[in-house]
Amino acid sequence: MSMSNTQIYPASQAKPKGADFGGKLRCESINPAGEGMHEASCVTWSSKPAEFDAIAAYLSAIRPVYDAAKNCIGQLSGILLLLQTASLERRNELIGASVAQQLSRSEDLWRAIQGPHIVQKHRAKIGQLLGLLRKVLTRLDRLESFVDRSSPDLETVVNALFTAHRTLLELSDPDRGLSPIDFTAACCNCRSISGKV
Amino acid sequence: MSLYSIYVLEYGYVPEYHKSGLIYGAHNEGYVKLPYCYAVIKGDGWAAMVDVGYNDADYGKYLGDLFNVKNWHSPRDVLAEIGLTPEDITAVFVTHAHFDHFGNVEAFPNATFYIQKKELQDWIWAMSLPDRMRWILHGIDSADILRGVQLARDKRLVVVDGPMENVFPGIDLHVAYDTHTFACMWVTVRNDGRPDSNDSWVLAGDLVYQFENLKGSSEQLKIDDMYLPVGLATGSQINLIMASETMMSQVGYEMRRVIPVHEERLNTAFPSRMNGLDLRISEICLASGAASLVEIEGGSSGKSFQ
Repeated sequence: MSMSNTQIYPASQAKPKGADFGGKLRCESINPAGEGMHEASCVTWSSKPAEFDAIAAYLSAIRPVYDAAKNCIGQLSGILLLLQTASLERRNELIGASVAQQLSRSEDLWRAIQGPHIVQKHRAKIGQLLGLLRKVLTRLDRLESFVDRSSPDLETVVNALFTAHRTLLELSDPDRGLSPIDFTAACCNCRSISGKV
Repeated sequence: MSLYSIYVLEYGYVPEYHKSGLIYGAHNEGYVKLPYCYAVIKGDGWAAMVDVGYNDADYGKYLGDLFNVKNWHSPRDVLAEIGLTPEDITAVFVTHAHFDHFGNVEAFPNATFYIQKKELQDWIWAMSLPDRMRWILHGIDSADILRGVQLARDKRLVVVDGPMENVFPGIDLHVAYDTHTFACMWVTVRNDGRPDSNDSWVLAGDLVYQFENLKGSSEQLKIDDMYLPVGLATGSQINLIMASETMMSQVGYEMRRVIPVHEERLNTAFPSRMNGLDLRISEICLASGAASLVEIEGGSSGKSFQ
């Protein structure tokens, strides 16, 4: 997957090339020649353990916000999909209310989460994502304007949702639970014996 | 007179997958190879697919790595082995919305996609549930739903509400509610085109993973011929058993005619060969007048099926 400079990687695990760690680069992987040692230039050597704890705490705290944003993208897309296929039913109309509720809760939670300096770029982008989803939700107030497949309103909203999803991917860190697809509790989450993880 | 040729095409595989994920209750029974496949139904100048796999790029690549999927190849490479391109595919029947079945719609620019209404509605509903109920959501990529919006805008998405007969001549869509997923679809091909067909094939999606799901055994019960549900189900095992019964009844209880696409041993039941990508092609049946694409030196006859 494409990794962005908004991802955060506590130094306990090797991560993809170029991962941005507060403006410093971590090495792509543990240096094979060094037999399990990170390369000399890796940020791992200059990071403080306390900072890692703060990052881990931030990631744990932000996860519900990330998950809610993921669900909101799916639900907002779902409303449009059901609308386009004449499948929107009374009970589905409640989805809009559910999105509003999830968003409000997430915005409150996001405001309450601060985190260390190193995560601020990530945190800010989560805030932007919530803002974008709020705008989409507001525009969905008048559903009838989205029935027409050629509606410019529909075009705008769909584009915004694609942008939101791209942002979600940029914010993802699956090894830390920020995963666009949830397999955490699924049977298929069992690892094969020869699996990489 | 047979209307269609049917192929099961492997596009990647997990070398060692825990058997308990495939067969309900198969605890501590080790690991099996799990092929990732889709099916192609090829008629006269027309081709459809059952599921489209996933795209091994971006997050798809991450998932593929997570599940240790090996040797993934694109639909363009895989379909070329039977003389097709993704552009040739005009219909896709999506059995369910998991990423490895519905995760590559963009690769098929000319296809209209068929998916069950309840499958979409319930996934969207499930996203509103509290986090503590997140288990229900496993395997769903919200991006696939978003791509579905784009398909709908392009008038390339048909939302099917329940069973649909003759969606194309001799091809029926059936649904098993609350089984592997909320509304898992299977495709029945009546290859003689007759309503009371004697030549039906069932493309089972993930309602049947392996032969044992249809002919299972229990040492304790001294039974060696019963349905066993798949190991992974969001819904009910009872509903899975009932769906198995309906599928089997559609093929006159000839088990070989219910096709489990994740079954590595399809080559024991059907003529098969490995293609140049080291992926398996199984030829389920041939349309009248069609030449075999697998009967070459080194291929298997598929006659060892018991």
